[in-house]
Amino acid sequence: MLSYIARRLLGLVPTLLAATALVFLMIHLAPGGPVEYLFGPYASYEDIAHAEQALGLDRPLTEQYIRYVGRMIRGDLGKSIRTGRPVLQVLVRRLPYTGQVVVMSMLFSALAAFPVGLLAAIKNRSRFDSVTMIGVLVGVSMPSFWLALMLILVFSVSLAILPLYGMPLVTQDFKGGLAAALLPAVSMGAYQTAVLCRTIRGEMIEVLSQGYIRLARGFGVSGWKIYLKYALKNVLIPVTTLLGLQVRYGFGAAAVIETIFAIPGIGQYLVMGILSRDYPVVQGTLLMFALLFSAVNLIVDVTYTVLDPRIKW
Amino acid sequence: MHSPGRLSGKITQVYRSRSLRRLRADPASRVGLGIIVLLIVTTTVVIIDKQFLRRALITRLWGDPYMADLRSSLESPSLAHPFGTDHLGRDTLARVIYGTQTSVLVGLASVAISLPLGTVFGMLSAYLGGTFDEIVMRIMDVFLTPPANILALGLVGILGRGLENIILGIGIVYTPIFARLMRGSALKIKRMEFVEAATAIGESQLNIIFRELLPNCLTPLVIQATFSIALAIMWEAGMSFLGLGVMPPASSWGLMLHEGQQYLREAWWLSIFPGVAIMLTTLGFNLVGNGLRDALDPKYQAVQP
Amino acid sequence: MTTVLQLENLGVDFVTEGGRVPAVRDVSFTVERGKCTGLIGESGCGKSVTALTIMGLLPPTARVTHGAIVFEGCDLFGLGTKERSNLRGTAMSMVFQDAMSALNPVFTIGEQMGDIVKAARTKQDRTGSSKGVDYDREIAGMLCRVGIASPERRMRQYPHELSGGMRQRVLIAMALLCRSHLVIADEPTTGLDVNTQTQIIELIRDIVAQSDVTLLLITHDVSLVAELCDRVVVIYRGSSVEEASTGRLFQRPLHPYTRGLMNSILTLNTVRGRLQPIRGSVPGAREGIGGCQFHPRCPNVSEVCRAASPRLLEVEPGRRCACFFHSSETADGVP
Repeated sequence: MLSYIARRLLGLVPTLLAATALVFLMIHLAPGGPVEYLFGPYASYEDIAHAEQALGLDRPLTEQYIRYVGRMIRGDLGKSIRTGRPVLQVLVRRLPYTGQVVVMSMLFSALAAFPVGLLAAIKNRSRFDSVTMIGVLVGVSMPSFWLALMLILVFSVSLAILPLYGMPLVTQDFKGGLAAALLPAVSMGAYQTAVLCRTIRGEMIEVLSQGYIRLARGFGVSGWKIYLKYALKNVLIPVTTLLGLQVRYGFGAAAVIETIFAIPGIGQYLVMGILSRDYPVVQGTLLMFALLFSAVNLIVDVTYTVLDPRIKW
Repeated sequence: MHSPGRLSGKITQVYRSRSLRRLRADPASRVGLGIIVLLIVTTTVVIIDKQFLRRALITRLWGDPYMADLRSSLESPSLAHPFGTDHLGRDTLARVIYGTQTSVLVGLASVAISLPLGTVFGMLSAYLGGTFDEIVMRIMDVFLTPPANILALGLVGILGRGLENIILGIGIVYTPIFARLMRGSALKIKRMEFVEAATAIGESQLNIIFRELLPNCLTPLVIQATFSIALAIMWEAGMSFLGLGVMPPASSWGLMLHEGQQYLREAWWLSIFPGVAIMLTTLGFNLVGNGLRDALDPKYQAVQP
Repeated sequence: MTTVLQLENLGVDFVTEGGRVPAVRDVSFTVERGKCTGLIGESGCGKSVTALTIMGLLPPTARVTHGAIVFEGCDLFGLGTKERSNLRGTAMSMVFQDAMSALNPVFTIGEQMGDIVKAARTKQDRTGSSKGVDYDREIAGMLCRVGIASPERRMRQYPHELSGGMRQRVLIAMALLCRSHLVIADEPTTGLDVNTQTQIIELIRDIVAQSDVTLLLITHDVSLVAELCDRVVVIYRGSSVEEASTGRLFQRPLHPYTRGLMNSILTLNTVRGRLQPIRGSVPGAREGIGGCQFHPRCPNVSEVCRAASPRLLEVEPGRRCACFFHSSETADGVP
């Protein structure tokens, strides 16, 4: 098991390198450089050339890339052009906030989706099932940012029971953090819940039609034991893939949600970086995302080997 | 004697018509189709109004979606302005209607780019196999690994704002999805017997591709395309909401939500109606996509909202 | 009472998108205690559906249209779901066809068998819960009994780690552990290689001889029936067409279909040169056939066969046949 993890971690390196190369390439080939943006349309060519030289942007691409990788290994992801602060430090400081929102939304969606999805599958084709599928359809069609605005309207503006902006970490202020993370988590979580519910239901229906469920029934094993033990474990296997996908999706959705709720996370950082064409920020954040996604993939794969005895590592 | 190609084409025809009858009967799909028809009609009217009538029609009805009229700033919904007005006094309903055009355009255009492109790559990849297949699939994998919404965001962030860049960005993200889909279908069909039969008879390669492979791969493509349009519309709205999308004074529902955010307390209507529009549009395409899938290929797992 | 199971006029339909499809049209037979009864017929003739109906394991799309099943004097259709469920694993159990899909891939053999035994014992002993009782020894013993070496090791393994033959033995062990009065075995040797088939056959023969288990064996393999069964029921297209003791059936088959089956098998006595298959093929399930179900393929068909459907009648003591002309044929089946 440990050697498997070690092997996977080693495999991360080329993937990350490829990711950085891709991001690097995209940013530097894009029209309009960061310096032009910063200086505005009235900057003279000299000013721009001067700034580019200072920032090292006039060197050949490959040289820039090698320097970047070299610095990256030493833990230096560059400094934000706008604020001058080191990117890596900012990312590390912001990460827990994003983590809090993502974790809460995953918890929320799992808690909501599992019982509903399983029950809808057990009562396949009943009224409960139809209602569930309608709910799924609505949840999947609702944009998360709009839901966020609606929720803010109801809870923060009209009823004023939940805070509007900012979010303390749960490690510092448990209740406050929870209250502040609630609306962002639900906004993001609604879509995730719908997708999760739909998948759980689908997989459960598939599992319940399998021969081993019929065998268990054939020997008189009680209904709940069949559902919660025999069926559930088989359902968890494909659902794990989805959960991994959702976590990765969640980081992306976090960009929008953090912007609305003014949460100082890495998503907001990315958006700010994009809007101000602050390429070290964009580069660094995308790299951080790549790292996080690889970690999530690894966790998903390891979970697989635990759940499914047919898989050998 | 019937060539296998024509026979298989006939089979798909018959199959499709029976399934399409089922689709048309399904009430959920009918609602979805109704929504889509409404969208297309609205878009057409908007285009006519914008290009030829200089917005005369919409101005007569509710107000000009582009011109500011600060006297009527932030009015709540009334008979004259059923959806209220925004901070510049522009009628919200007019802007929502005009926003339809943006969303439909983005949805259709991004799929119109990526579908043929992806299909060609996927089919060539499946048919030629070997190194070509390897290389193409590797490239596609690079684009398929990150979650699509981040990739789209990143691409648009790099390319810059504006409608064309959004369409381009989403198109780039979709192409590998269609390519992989097409490749999978093509590989499956390639091994089936009637293709071997056609090759044995000596049909030309091109004929085989068009007469045998293509008609049978269409089903998952159509289903995926429907869901992709829905996703594209959602993404455009999201990016415009962040300020990365179309530039004002153009109307986009996402942009309207962005502008309305500041006035959330005073003018709730600015944040509700555009969102309802986004949701209904997405719902329409999702309903039709679901209906298509249930009627044509229930086991298919689409990349969908 | 010697009759463990009695089916009378059983009919089961499936509700599909294209309408109702009959899977079982008119099946009647009896199963005697301690004997092995064979249910034989081609694929798709409804024998598995019959078995599932007896067990009460039909999918939600199935509808029992008519008929009765009496098990140990009890009308099964008059029971509620809970009572029916209580019978399973205690009074009646089933050895399923495809052992690989019948076993849960994510649990060990020991765990699955343990759950089954626990479920059965709890109901049988009626002393409340059987928590804390360790069934492992009993399970290992039974695994040994069905011919699995080093049972303790096997119990800790997963289904995919066992061979096909071993998995089948596990299913048989499960049924035996429940100490049921009736065991239904659905195609227990299909899909196994010849060697393993022989071993399983021997095992079944052994079990039937040594215990007083009542076995209902479902198969399409005539030779299997010849080896193991005391009585045979022949099913064609969802209806039982002949029922007799094995010896009599093979010696002198009465129904044209049965005769056709016998004629299409190679035996040491077949020296006539060509095999005689039954002409035509089994019509699709949706096709309606008026009169006798078999008449389109029957070599002796006549007008009355097209018009009316023959009832299953007792033509000799302990022998039933559903044909208008069963008695007018010579012994070797040639009209």
